[in-house]
Amino acid sequence: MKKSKKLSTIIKNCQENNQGNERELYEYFFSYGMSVSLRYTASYEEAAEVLNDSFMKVFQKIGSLKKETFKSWFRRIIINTATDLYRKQKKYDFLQHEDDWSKTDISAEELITAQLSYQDLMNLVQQLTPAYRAVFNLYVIDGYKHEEIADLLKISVGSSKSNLSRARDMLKKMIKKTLNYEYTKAIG
Amino acid sequence: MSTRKLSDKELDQYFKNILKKPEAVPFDEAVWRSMNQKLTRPSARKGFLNWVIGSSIVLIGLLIYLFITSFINDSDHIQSAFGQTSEALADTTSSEEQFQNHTNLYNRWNREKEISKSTNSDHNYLKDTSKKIEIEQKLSFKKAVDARRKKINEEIIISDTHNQDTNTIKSSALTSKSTKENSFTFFQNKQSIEEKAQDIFKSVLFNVADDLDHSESTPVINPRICFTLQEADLDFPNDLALVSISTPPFDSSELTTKSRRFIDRFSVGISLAPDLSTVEELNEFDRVGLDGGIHLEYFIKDRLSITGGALYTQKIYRTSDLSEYQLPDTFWSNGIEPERINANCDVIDIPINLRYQLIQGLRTSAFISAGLSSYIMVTELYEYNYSEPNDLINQWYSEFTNKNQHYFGVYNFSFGVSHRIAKNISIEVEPYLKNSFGRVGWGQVQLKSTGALFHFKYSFRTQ
Repeated sequence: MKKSKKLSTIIKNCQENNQGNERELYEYFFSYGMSVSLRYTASYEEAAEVLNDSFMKVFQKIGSLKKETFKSWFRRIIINTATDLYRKQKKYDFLQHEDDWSKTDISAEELITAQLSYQDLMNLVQQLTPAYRAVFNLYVIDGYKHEEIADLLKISVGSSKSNLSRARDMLKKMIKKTLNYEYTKAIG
Repeated sequence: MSTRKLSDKELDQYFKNILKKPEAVPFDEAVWRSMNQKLTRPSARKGFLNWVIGSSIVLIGLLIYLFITSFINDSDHIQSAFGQTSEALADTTSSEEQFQNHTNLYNRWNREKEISKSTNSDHNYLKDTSKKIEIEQKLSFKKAVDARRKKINEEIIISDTHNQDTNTIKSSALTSKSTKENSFTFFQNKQSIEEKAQDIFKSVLFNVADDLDHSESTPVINPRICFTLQEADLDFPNDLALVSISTPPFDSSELTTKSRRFIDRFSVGISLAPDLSTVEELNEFDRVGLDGGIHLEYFIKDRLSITGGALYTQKIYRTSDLSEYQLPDTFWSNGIEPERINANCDVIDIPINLRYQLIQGLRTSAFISAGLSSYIMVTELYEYNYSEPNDLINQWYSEFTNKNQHYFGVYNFSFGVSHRIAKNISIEVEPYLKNSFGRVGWGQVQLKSTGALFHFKYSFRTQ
């Protein structure tokens, strides 16, 4: 309760353009913002760039924030900023990875055995190509529909679905690789 | 152990469950510093602009002050001259004395004119080559005759490269030794003489004269530069005075430069210019930028000067040609190409040019100028527009502060016209062309700029 009261005060101060409150808001949402940014980017540096660009938009437009909660608004801004970055990387991404795809299956037991941590999963997601990563994040983690994703990324719904499918397969492949590595390590 | 295949839904749920509950990411001071830079950049820019505006206001104020004081000084000269004349006229003597004085004066004047014609080669030269300005003017000398106590002689001497001694006060041929206490007024150039003579001494007679009487005892005053201003010939019939000023064609190079004070060689001013920049052809412009700053000029020789200053300039350009806008490899490694790039850069331009005056007139001169500029890129704002529209974000911006400096990286050409509007004040218009030697800025562009500088200038030159 106290924390939420403090947040509303910080937001209000930022809306009133009181200088010095930016840092408070930034610190408050740094961890959350970075966790979202990291999912959509390939590195910490890239995530920091997305985060800062997102915060810039936040500080510029915080006055227009009314009904929506700050957190969901902020998340939307980060996602928009990240998808814009994706759009820039799209051409490269397509050229680099269009042939790098094949079907892989893993079992539920293997997934449980793998005992992947948050950081492990984050690393796996970050290793996806920008197109796959964007669609996977939007669809799986952030709950967008394929139509929304298609609209957001300016791709067809079919591309969105196929990218998701490929993303999943890549993740499975990477999980399998991890398991093999762990197994090899275990048997010496 | 079951080997059931993992369904997509299970995989999704697995990732969602874990990634939706993120681990705390520790606050990173370095990332905040980067953020803080972005936040403070606009105010820093504003602060710099305020500084430029403030400096300009101070400079404009100074120029106005100098402008006004130069006018006051001018009017002081006028008042002084009139005052001396009136004072002299106020002293009256007897009619007999006046008559005698006037007769003596007239005779002497005529005699000296005759001698002058026959003996003085300079005078012949003067007659042959000089431009004669003859002004006939009806003047009332009755009052002057009655009031006259002593002759009023004004000698106007221009500093001359041929004869430095003319800077000293001399008695003219028409000035008797007994009237050496007469006031002398010194002006700086022919133009001053013409203006002042007509404006100030309307009721007196001018005549060119040599100091023939003193040719042995004092250096000869070059007739081209010596004018003796004498009260109207009192016996001139019908109250008609002939005002005659004879001079050769004016050549300001005759004016001495050696005798100038160091400060006299300087001019300061403010400059404004519309600026058009491009990285493509010189007809591919976006919007007009505005330049403003200070301008300095130092005269090395009479016609040759060094100009410099500092201009806060806006370089605004756009390009669709990515060969003209070379993004550094480090910017983004994924090779995406924007459709169009709009740039808006604030640059401090520090030019150093040599200027040569091709034509020197009394008030107006024409010059050419060439030199080098240093570009200090204060802020660089680039807008990348992509071919595929995006309802959310269809543009990407990059902004850099104090990232690039190019010392003497730009060459300048210009020509212009200068017009003197007051004693020390002049205005100039100077169309220019600037081109970078190499590629400048974050985008590594071959930047070309053109425009026209308007200078409002104060010269410290006093003669």
